[in-house]
Amino acid sequence: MAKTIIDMKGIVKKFYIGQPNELTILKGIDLQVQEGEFVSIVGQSGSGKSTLMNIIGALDRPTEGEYLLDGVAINQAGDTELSDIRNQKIGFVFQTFNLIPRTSALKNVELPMLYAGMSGSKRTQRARELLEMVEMEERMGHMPNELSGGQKQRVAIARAMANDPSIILADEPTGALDSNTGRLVMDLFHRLHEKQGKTIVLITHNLELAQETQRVVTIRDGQVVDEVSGSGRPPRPAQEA
Amino acid sequence: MTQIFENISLAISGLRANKMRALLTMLGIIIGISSVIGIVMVGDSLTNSMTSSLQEMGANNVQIGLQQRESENGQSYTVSIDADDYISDEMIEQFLSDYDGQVEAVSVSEGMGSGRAVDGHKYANVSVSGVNDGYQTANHLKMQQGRFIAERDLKGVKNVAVVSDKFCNNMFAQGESPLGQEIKVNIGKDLYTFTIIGVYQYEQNALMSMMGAAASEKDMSTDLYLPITTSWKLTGAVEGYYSITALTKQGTDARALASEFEDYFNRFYARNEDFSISAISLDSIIDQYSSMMGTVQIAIAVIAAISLLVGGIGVMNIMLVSVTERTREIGTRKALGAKNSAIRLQFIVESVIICLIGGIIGIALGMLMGYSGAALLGFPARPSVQAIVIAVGFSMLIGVFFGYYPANKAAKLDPIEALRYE
Repeated sequence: MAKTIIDMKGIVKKFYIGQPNELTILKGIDLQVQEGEFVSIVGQSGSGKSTLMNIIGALDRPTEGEYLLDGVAINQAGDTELSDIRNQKIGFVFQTFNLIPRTSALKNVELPMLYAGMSGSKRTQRARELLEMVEMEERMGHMPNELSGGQKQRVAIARAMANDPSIILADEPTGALDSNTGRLVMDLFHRLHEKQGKTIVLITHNLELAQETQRVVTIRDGQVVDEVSGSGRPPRPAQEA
Repeated sequence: MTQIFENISLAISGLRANKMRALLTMLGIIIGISSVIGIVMVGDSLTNSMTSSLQEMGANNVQIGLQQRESENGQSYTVSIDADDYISDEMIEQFLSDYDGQVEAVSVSEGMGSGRAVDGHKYANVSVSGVNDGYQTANHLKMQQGRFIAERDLKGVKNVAVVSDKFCNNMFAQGESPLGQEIKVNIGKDLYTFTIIGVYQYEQNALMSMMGAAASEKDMSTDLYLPITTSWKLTGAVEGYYSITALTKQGTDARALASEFEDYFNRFYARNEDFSISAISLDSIIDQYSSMMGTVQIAIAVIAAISLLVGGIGVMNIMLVSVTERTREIGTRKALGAKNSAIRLQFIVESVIICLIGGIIGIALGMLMGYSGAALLGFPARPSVQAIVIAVGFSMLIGVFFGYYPANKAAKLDPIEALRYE
């Protein structure tokens, strides 16, 4: 049986606790993601989708409930431990790419490994391999402002893979791209999922994209309202098959 | 360790991207450091040349002079000096025999003013002084020809003179012996005639040259010495000394002897209501001068510290701007697993690099200032290694101190807020 990577039970997230404007964003979320799964989380804006993503990504702690990420309890972790968890277990892919400016593609990919304390030569070696994987080896010396949106996102995906994380957490990864480049990025996720067995959590409001994944979790008003199987990867062009 | 190197290269690339801003930020540090280095350099060279020229004049010299007593009610009023108030030859003779072991010579001099020796179209400017036989020893005059004023010249009130080699160059042809020649000297409205008995070697005194005596060979004024008795006779001055110089022997403590001499001479003035004797060694003048320069340097250090403080605040300001500008980057780094300490280190390194580069530019500029300042004053200057080390250390310290608050602010940013920052 596959290992459970994300195990959430009764996650509640409140803001402004104890104040008159106390706000409950997540109202008891139960969510399990198995190793090697490609799951999407969809919801309207204001549904609590982003808050859930922050908690999954160990950027934030739940107010109540239990969250085990690859067997590590996030509830009790301090700031430094959360940093380590993000560094080792999570690979972030953002809508706006968030590459570090004035820093080459190669150095950007090296960054998570630098924070992991890996030695310089090993870091560079691995970063090169990752950039080759996303077919960006030609541009590894380029600065982010010299790359197109699709290229930036591919570098960002290589960076997310740097420390071989337990999950890739992608927040609207195609949101800032046109449909063609968006397609390429989605194909890259499928490839990582199929070839390398990566666990991927895709957060989106695009139902069409969500349908490509194995499971679609719908959030509304801070609760999981629907969990259905997706229709899987759309038919691919012949040369990629 | 690897993180520090990464941070250094990151900080430098960041500064390159914002050259103008980086330079303006550094300006306060540059001005502070360069003024310290420059002024310390000029001050050091000034002190060194002052000290060496004072020592040249004789660190073994003790000045013994008249000093007006303070009146009982504390009011000061000017008292005219009577003939019997002056230090007399008898006192000096007694003093010399009592301190035979400690005192080499006693030198006295009395200025008669500036004048000009004229011979046809030839001339030489002179500064005329009446001196005694001890003057040569106390002032380390080197004789080139002939002899200095001797006791018999003093006793005989002879119209003889000792002149400088420069004087001879102006007055006499090459190869012509000046000894025994008669010269006519105009002082004020009076014309005097003297016979040259000796020629001393003129030495440019650093102190004198600083006071602006940069005349040409032809117009420069050199000292012309007469027996002091002759000058008394010519000017009709009272025979006595307002101040004398005692040259103590090698190996004696001039400073200790000064106070002994003061007590010794004050015995002659025990019943004098208006005057007493004060004695001071050149050594202690040097000390006073050094301590004065020390005070000046402390004042400069304080001013520099203020300018560095202002510079540091400028650095802090820019670092705060930088943190705000890069909020998203900080959020991204945190999402990628940067610990708070790593973020803090990144910004402190950046701040230290700004201050260090500013410090290095400041040192270079300060040395330039120091060298040109010293060249302007005509003294050799050398950069003070100590000042440079302190300047570098201090600018780094400013970097850490003023970088800490912005860096800590960056480190404490909430990653979610930071990632969302527009």
